[in-house]
Amino acid sequence: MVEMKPFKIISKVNGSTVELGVNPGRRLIDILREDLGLTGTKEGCGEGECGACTVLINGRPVNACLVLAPEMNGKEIITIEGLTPEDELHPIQEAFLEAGAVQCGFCTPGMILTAKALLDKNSDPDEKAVKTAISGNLCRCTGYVKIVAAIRLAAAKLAAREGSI
Amino acid sequence: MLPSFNYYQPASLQEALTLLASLPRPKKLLAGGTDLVPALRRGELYPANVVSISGLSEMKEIKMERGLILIGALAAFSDLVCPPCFEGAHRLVAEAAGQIGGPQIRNQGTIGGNIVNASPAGDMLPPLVALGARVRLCREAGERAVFLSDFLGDAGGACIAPEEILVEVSFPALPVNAAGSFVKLGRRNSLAISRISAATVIIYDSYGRIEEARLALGSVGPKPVRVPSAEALLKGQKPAPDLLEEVVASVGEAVGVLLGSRSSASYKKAAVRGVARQVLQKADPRFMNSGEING
Amino acid sequence: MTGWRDGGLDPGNSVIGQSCPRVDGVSKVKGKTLFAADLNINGALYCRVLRSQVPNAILRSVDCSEALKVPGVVAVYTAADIPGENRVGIIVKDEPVLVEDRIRRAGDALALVVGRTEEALEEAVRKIQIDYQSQPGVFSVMEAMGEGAPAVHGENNIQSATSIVRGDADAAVSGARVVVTRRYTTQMAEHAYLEPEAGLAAVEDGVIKVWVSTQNPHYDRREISRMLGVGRHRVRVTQAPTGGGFGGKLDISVQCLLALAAFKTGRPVKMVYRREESFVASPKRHPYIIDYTSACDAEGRLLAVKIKIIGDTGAYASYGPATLKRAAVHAAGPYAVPNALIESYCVYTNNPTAGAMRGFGVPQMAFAHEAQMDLLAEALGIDPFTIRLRNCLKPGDITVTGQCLSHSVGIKETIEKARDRAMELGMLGKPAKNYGVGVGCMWYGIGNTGAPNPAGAFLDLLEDGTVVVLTGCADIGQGSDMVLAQIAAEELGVNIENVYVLSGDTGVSPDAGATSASRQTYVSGNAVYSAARQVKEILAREAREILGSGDANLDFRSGFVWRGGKKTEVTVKEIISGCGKKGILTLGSGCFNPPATGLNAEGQGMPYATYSYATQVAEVKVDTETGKVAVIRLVAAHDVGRAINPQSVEGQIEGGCLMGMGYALLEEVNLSGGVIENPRLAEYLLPMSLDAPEIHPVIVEEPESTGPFGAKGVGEPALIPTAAAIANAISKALGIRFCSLPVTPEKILAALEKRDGYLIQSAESTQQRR
Repeated sequence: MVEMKPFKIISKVNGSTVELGVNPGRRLIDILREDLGLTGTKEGCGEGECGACTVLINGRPVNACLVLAPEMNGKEIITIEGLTPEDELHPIQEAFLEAGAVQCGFCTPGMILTAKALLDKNSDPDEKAVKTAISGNLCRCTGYVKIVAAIRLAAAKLAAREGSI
Repeated sequence: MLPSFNYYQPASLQEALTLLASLPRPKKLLAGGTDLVPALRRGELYPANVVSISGLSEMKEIKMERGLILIGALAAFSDLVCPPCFEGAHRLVAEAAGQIGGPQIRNQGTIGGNIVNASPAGDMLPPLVALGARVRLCREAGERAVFLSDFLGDAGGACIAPEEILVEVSFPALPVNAAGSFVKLGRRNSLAISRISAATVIIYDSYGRIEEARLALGSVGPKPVRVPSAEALLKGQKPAPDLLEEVVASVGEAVGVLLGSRSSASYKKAAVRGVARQVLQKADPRFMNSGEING
Repeated sequence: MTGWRDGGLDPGNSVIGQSCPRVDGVSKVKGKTLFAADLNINGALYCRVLRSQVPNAILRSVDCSEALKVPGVVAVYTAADIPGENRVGIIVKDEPVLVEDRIRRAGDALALVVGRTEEALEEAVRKIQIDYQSQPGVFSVMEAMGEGAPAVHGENNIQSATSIVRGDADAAVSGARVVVTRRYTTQMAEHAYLEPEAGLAAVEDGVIKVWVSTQNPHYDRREISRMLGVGRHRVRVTQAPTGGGFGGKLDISVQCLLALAAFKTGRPVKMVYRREESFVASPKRHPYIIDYTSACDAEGRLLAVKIKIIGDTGAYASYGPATLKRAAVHAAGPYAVPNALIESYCVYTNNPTAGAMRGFGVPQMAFAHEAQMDLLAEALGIDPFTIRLRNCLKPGDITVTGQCLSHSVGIKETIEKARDRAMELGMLGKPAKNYGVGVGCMWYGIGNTGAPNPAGAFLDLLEDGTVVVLTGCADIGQGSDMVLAQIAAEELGVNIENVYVLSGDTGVSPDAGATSASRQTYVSGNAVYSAARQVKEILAREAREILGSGDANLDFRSGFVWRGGKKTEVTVKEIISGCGKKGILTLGSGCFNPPATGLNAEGQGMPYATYSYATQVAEVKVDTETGKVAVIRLVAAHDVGRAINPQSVEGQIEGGCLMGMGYALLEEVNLSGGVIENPRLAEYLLPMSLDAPEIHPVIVEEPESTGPFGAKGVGEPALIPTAAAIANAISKALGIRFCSLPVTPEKILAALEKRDGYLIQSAESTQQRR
């Protein structure tokens, strides 16, 4: 058994700077859920096969269960809790509610963050683009139909908001 | 919680090489981590030391120099999907990278990791073998370059020392009159392990005949295999549906011999015909029947 | 916000049939919903189970001494530590919480380690010494039913049997124009809800409190109380928001282990399954072997069916007996069949336990009866829709159990609407090569099979228009809280936002039975409806006094009393305060038990109060070189009685269709000597977004007079006919009949190889007489 030295990390989580000494045998998902109390990031499989733990690292969706904790160092991380201020809903969240894209809710945070990354680089994705973007996020409840519809609705909402500014 | 290990985050390649040379075994290099972390979790690996090179931006570059396309080993799969150098004949690289895992895996996993892990189903391997790629490996004392097909062991695995880092993969840019493509057959359309994959590179002469054809198959052996019989059939010919039938049949036969009496053989030797057909038709529409082009 | 200030519901402004937003939606999209794994109590200890790797063995001893020495380990418990009865099971109490002497399956729990850190638990589990003697196991039902097979329990591996005898099937078969006989086999499948099992337990003021991901908190309470040997008043089970269940969270998972650890240590304890453990420990969908004979006349009218079904329930009964009984009742499909001889057997083996999974044993039957319908149609050269329309149940028809269906029989309409939609979409009559369109029909009895399954609800109407509903009904993501809120809001004329549904907490809510059998909209919906009626009666009595109108027909909408459809000046608030002055509270309690009867020895009776019906049409394209099937479109027409929340009904249909597609093509738990070979999501593949076809739900409403506002159920029906429709489509595309699920590329290529010389096996035959 090796005695592990804590590894010092500085990263930005949901806009706030986080400085921690982390045990390298932990994963990003453990730090988020256990140390930072960000339980919106869910663990569904622990091996990158379900996408429930999707977070954005430097704007890209990544499975938090596949990232060693020290790899957070120097990165900017967004979790579902950081998508909007406490009492607001992001247009993607509104769209998920309106389109009926939420059932059990366990895939929802990861799905919404994946959608956010997609819409950040493609403001008007077609169905194929949406399905491709969420092809690493498993949902066992919805058949994806209303999730795809919600993401396209969110694109329209964002475009309308853009237009009104 | 994973098994215990010491973790290092060197700031440069040189520092990483020095560390690797000095740290006791067992030691592991961490690039993207998409294979390493689950293996640690399942208790399949117990490294005492993990050296992370994920932050070495010098190893993420993709560039074209003196007729060579050079890809830093730490380029993520999603970085390989869009660049202009992977359009046209080189698109087989982008096509393979774009079908690995799911989007999250593609954002994290690296081409170098895929090569060094040397899985029989590693999706980047057949295209790189078809392109005649070489890998460049560094160690504290120096470096070497070797053809990918030689780097991959005949019984599986990669020929790399624990002190070495694969820093770059490169291949000669294809001439203007060339084509390439990649096809993957999985049980589902994302997050699927290749049951069979195929990559092809075709170089034409000035009359539109095939001057050289390379066909590399994945998941039919420990490492990608070229199919010389099929390549020979293509050489000197004009792409046409009849020719394709001959080629496909020869690929089926070759794979039947390769797989022998393995349990997957009866399925794969039949299915590989479909994969070979698709990859050649995708590379050159002249392999299609006129009806198929419209359909 | 209050109901009265906002006016509440106006007449004609019904909330039934509206796609109201989910009450739990906002916290779910914000990631604030606390699932069981997200809950914590300071100082909570962690638990981990040591599970058997072998499927059948005599357990001689469990030595925990080395494990107890691991720093951070607080306790290790074995069967000897269980104070009460060490047996659980929804129907038969045959499963130990911790094995005392006999291991019956790989995955049986042998010891429970409690400690301060996950690392300590991991080490301690490795250090427990197990002394066992392996025994020969039985891994197939045929073997298990054979002479001299080792018995998994007692003396005989046939756990239960059901038979249905109606008319004279043999005579009818011998006089039939076409007789089709086939054997169908189906695979073991995994629910793979996205949230692995998890829970938290603590002892507070002598009460053992358990928060857990579950489909049936009241059942959990019963089992915990028996296992600990304490009164039920000392156990409180609160359902945590549950990340999917599909039948897989009906059985006991972490509940008893957590309660034991909390009870023994007196400390809060927490337990979360890893995905692999979820695979190994949870029940599965029963694999079936079905021998099916169908006989029809020259017009394709069904004359008789003879069916034998054998289901592998694995090491423990779980919901097996109910699954196989339901299979028998539904075996003939949604068709009028005058003569039937049906037997079904639920058989123990040393395989993983099979229990309830969405469809409850009926998807397997639909695969078989729908293939049979196509084979009959092909023999006679008639269209798949025509033969189904010719045979489908109509009001007044008698089922194989002798039940007369008087109303709400929507199968005909679902066939017609599915066909019409398929036509509109251009799915029918395409001449393309390797394309196929297949039809699948189903019926599904709502609620438990020939057994009482009541639900209760309490309702409290407060002065400001708030309605509090207390129900034991577990919302596992399907949205029952919302549906129950809609029912209460409608009946009392308040805004949906003013209804607070507190569900699934044995400390405060009455038992509503399991969230299973597609029963909660119908059964709990009726309970809430009847509680609301009671409150309405109280209001009406007081209102009649105030209005001085003894017999008037009163209603309560928008905060006012309405008489004969006209608004009065009297407010509901006045009525409630009038009641208050007299010491009357506006409280209601409701309970509902579906009017059904048991089955007699010949399988005759009225096993369900009502049935849902559906027809799905699948369009596929098969790559004949790789064997890969692409499902292009699914049309799914479902008779749900009444769609209380249409968006949510569509959501159920769409999700069910995709799960059904996985069942048809991809999903299979592979076993080797009773051990699961693919207990991971990397190896047990589920359909993902790029695999999903276009899905076109069609809602058909044939109101059920005993249902709340006419509603029946849709949760399971959504999936039942999908595999049947897809398998039929593949068969049409290739001209080859597939009788085994899943229809994998391997099976397709193997069948194509011998297509020309396709041998008819002895069990398969199609006979035609002139």
